Amino acid sequence: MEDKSIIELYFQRDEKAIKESQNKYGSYCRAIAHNILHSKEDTEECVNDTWLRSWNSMPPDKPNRLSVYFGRITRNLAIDRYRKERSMKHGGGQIAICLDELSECIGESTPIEDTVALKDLLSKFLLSLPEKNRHIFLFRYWYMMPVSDIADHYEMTSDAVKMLLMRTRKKLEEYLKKEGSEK
Amino acid sequence: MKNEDKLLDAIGMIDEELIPEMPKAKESAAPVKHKKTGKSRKAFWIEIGIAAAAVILVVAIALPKVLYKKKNRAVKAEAVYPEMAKCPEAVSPVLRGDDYDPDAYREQYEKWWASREEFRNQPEGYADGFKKFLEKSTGTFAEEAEDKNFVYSPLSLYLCMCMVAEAADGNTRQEILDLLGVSDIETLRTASKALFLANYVDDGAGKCLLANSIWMSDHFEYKNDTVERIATEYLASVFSGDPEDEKYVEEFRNWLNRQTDGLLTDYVDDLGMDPNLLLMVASTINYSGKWEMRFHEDETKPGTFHAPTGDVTCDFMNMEYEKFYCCTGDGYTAIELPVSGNGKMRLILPDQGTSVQELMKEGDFIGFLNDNHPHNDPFYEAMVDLSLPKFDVSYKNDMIDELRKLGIKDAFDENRGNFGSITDQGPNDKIYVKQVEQDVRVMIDEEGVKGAAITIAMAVAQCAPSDKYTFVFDRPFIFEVFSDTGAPLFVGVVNDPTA
Repeated sequence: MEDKSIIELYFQRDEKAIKESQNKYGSYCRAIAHNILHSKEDTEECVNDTWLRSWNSMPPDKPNRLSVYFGRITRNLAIDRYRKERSMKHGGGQIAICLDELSECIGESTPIEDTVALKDLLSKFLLSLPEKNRHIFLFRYWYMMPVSDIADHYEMTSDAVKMLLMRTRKKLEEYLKKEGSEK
Repeated sequence: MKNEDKLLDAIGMIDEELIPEMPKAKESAAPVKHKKTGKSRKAFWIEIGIAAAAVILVVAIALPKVLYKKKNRAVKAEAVYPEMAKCPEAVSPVLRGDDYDPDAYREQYEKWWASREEFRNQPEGYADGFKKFLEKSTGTFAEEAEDKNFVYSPLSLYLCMCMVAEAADGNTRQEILDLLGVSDIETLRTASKALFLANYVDDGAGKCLLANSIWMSDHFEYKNDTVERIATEYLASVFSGDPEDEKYVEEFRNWLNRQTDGLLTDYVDDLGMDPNLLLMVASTINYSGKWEMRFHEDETKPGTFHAPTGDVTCDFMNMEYEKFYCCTGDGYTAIELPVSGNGKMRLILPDQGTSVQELMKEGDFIGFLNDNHPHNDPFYEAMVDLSLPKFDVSYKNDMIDELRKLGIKDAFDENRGNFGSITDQGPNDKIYVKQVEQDVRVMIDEEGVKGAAITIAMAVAQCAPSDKYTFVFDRPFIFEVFSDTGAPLFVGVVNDPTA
């Protein structure tokens, strides 16, 4: 089913919307949640919550890209779940490592107040990158894909992907410094 | 909230036109259905992270002279092993597959989960006897670990001895029950079946197949009720034949090879049957699983392992910057590598200057070995760089001396052995256990891409959970494989990965 028709179903409050969303984007959302949580049960719950959240937010939301819309909700739900449980649960997902990597390019000396401003800076920064580097950065930190999967996709070695990510983080650190946001 | 969390959130808010489509997985890592022949072994190993291990334990009860010459009453029964619903990934395309059917996945998932729970949920306290047995026995068997590689399977020995206890009577049985940590035979029956089922995994993803059998002789008469009880309570297949007939011996070897996927052929080929055989009891475990965090083949590179007999070169699998449960103890550091849906492997590296043998003599350390630490304490999560040699270790263990040390006397004494539960034993009939042999093999392997290895010394000091550890297993170390319910399936020592 076309994305447009699925969105239409949400707007008509037709419960088929959820079924169609599951059919088309279930595996996509599941992959994102799995990258973060690495647990079958948590992944399932998170993906179920995605449809509920979408049902409540459409309307008024009318997404341009339905995949990213669902993916973003799943990502947020999975990160929330991870944060709630990280002190108790055996990790295995990628998020702990991603957070560790991201901490390299953003210090703790000045707490960030304005996440929206940071997002705008990030968007500008990402647009300045070559497309491949931008995609690799987002595969890693938006989809939380394991380095090895990114390497497989580009037929690169894991080392090369790690190196590219490290350089991008370094650039981001300098960019944020220059823009006065942090460090 | 920390700044990196805020940065992660900000990345999540990035304008949608910047977000690339998620790449499709190239090839799902769906497990290959393992054919029970030796031929598929190589292909199978490539698919899995942790290689399989298998155990054979044979107890022969022989007679110094033939007591009866009765007609064959061949009580024969093939045990029906429990069926477990398949893991959803094993039957439908994995999470990112194109043909993903959410309803089918969910349905299969629910079936699988219910099935796993049914196996795991056994009567409360079912493993108490096994725990007592571990407390008593691990130290004794661990003393075997000298300069050679060593592997031992506590669970397999336990399940085998349960069947021997059923065949025994009087003080012979009581001594075995004492070692097995139970007060009476009824408790043993319940515990043995529960242990069998709780640790049994056959869901298409992980595998922990347990199998029992007894082998009788046509020359003797058996008590049918006991034989039937062994078949039903201990889930054992029952065979009968002439131990002097090569075909019967071959059937026995074939059964062992089938149960262990041919991993122990070298040992099995040497097994024969005593012409005076009364009963042979066999118990096998066939385990395999995939690492939750796989190693990449390209990151495997040769390195030096400092074996007690001198340095050797072997392949080290490497992993950088991954999160694992670790702990430091008195004289050792340990790390646990989870096996997907099928327990975990614990690797223990003695501190520089401490030998495996010294550690194995410490009561506290044996306690640490026996404990699955289900609530993680004293383990905590840490970022880890890991360098671990691939290994394939096997060991043939004649266990009579150790079992004697552990208090089993009468069973091995031809004048005092009492096996009146399995056959009518007259006052002059000398029946005793002639052979207890355990053959074990454990292998680990990897799958993957490239990288550089680090060979820096291990951090020994107690670190805060956020610190990074480097584990380099380049000298003798201890390993354990735990089932999903926490039973130690295998305990071993790698002294030389190339041996």
